[in-house]
Amino acid sequence: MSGASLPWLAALRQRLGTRHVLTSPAELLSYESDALTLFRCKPAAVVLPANAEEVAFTMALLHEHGVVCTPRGAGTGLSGGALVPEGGVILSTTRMQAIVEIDGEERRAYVEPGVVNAKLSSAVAHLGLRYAPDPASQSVCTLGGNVAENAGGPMCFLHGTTSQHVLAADVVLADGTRQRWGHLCADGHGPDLRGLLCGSEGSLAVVVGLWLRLMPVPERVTTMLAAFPSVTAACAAVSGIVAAGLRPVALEVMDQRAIEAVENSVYRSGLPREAGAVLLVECEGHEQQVVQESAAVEAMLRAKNPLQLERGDDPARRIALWKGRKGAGGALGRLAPDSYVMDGVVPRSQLAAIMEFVEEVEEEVGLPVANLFHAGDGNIHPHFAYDGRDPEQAAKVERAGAQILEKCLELGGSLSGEHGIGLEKQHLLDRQFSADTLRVMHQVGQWLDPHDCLNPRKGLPLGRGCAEAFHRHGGGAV
Amino acid sequence: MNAVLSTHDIQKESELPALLRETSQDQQRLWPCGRQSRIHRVFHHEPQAEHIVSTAGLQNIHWLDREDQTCEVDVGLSPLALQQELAPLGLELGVDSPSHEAGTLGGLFLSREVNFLHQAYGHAREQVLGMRAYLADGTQVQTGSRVVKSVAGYDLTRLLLGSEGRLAVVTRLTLRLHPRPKSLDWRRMPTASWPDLRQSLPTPRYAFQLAHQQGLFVAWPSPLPQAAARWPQLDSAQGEAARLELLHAFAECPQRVAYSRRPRILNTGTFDWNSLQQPWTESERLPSHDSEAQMIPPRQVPPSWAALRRALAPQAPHFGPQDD
Repeated sequence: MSGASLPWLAALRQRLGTRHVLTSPAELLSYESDALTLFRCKPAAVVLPANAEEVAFTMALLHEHGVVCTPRGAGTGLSGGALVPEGGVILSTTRMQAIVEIDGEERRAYVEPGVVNAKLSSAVAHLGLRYAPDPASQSVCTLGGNVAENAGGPMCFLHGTTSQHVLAADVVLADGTRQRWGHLCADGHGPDLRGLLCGSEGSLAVVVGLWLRLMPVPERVTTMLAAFPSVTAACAAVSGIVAAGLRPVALEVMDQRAIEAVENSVYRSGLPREAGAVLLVECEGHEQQVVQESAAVEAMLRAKNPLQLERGDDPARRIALWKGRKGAGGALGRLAPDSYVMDGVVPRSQLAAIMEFVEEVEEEVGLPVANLFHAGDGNIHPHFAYDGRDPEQAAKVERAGAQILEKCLELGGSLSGEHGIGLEKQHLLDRQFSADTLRVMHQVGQWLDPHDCLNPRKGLPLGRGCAEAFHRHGGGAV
Repeated sequence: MNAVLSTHDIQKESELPALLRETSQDQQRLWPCGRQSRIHRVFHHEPQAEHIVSTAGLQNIHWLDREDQTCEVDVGLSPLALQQELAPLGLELGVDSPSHEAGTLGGLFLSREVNFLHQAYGHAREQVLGMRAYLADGTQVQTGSRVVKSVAGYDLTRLLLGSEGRLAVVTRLTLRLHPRPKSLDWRRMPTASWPDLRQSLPTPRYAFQLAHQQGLFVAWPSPLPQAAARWPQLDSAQGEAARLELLHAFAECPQRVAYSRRPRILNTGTFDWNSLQQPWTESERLPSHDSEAQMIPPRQVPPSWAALRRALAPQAPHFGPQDD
């Protein structure tokens, strides 16, 4: 059945307006994948509701017709989580961009899910507040998407991931029912569905409103850059800082290939090209505290014999350094037609071991890998540059990714720190969790979405073909 | 009220599955608990169940990774006992609660106890990275992981936290640890008191604002000797001894209150009590382009514990409190 003749489309067009129900091939093209282009599948339609009522209407209608639906924010996800199987609908929240309420006294804000992450911090800056989670894509990614993937970012070493900043969420269930999960004060009673929602990859409910926790803007911030001859040396410095009981807000490492890519791009920030790796350390807090802590960090870094050590007390320099770090993903994207950004976690003490393994894998597959990672959390992000038009390269990259993730598990880590499981890692989830634990997760999913209408075949290996419903490498179904 | 037919003090985790299967088959009510310190305080009655299963006898620290600042412990360990193990290693658990000494770690996390160190380390639930639990049919579930950041599968840990034994018997906790402050500087404050509770309520909020913004320890309530016993630095603190009566605002927390995120480095400037009288003016309400989206009321009561329990273990006996 062609998209245009689907019976539920007329009802959607009537309620949402024709402009907000997309069905033409050209319009659907940009929704056939998220930022992980390994997987593609064109939806039957994309709907763009303006508010919670329209979301509830859409979900109830699709539920009634047995049409599956995937909620989507800006599509910056990196695990293939924002795709919908053939015949399904993508519900894009990008029109729901209102910052509805800012409560400076209680340090919280109520926002719609399509608000771009960085815009919230800008909107509350005049109150001396900010929203702490800062994924690298924060200038485009949406807060609803951040909740779906429990997004992190450099600052989550100290401030925690999205889950720790969501007080409550207004949601629409698969059948169109609206509920509020979470409480504005204390913990309340009943199951912590707010916590369950974070990282559920849009498979339990559609977020239509969020109460988010705001934090004060620190009185002083100091950023330090230390260049080391190798990634291993940078990791040793990270271990030293953490073991000394210091608590910087961010500990970020970039390897030589990432440095080179940044310095050759518009994100150029004066990183030392000759270094094998750079470590960015940021301390924040009140004046006296930052002075003391940054001095201790500096002493620790000097003890590790860096090639270069720079303090970015000047706000302009600090911004430049972070521009380089946050733009590194984009800079690396220029190296090849496609980029595969992995996400795995190891205990901090195993960082050097996993980076050595990544090097071995790189040699084995013969494709360039750049590394930039949240060292304080043990969260690695190897970037593979490849050409997706070459099925052999794409297969190699996927195999290499699986090898690295299996190694993460072997070292006591996790398959994902902030990108989620999506389609990318489903087949590995039974290596991290027992069959009984996965069965319980499945039961929880069935409890809230009994007919598996919401973002089906993602996140959990449900034994129903999962990724088979999607296309890989721009080719046929797997 | 159900009569208590048996009380099982579990000494080994391996005893649990058979016991759970047995009670499940008989459709009998079962109440998992630690030392029952909070059951009496909160529910004001004896557990109403045919079988009491106490995990207070599970007391092992299975592993403690100083470098990664994580550990896996049995739920029967008291928070105080764990803190005592951690202190020589320069680490601490980011939780302090009324059941610090008398309760168990399991009770603390599964009952959503208040965390006095909230300002320093966040909500108590954020300190739990994973759990080992047994469902009513004896199925073992291992949630989360040992790393500080993980988004893999549904976060079952969040569902078990606060469940007060309604869903499963939790036996182990994987916890996040923190560097122990090398020294604690204590800010002495003038005594403040209010004629009634309502007038004192804005103060903790103000104090927390200040603590968070400026990184200073705010106050401690009575009894001072008890606090001093646990925090010897109090005895050597300089300045005028004083006490801020935050006690009433924390009805259930008669010990110490929060300290700042980084209590070891403090601003020792003068505290202006007059500022307490100033109302907050930073609140702001923005016009919404869509009134429909504003403050969406819940249209249906979110699912209850009973609904979740039915979903996870339909054949299970009724676990824990009968409040749903």
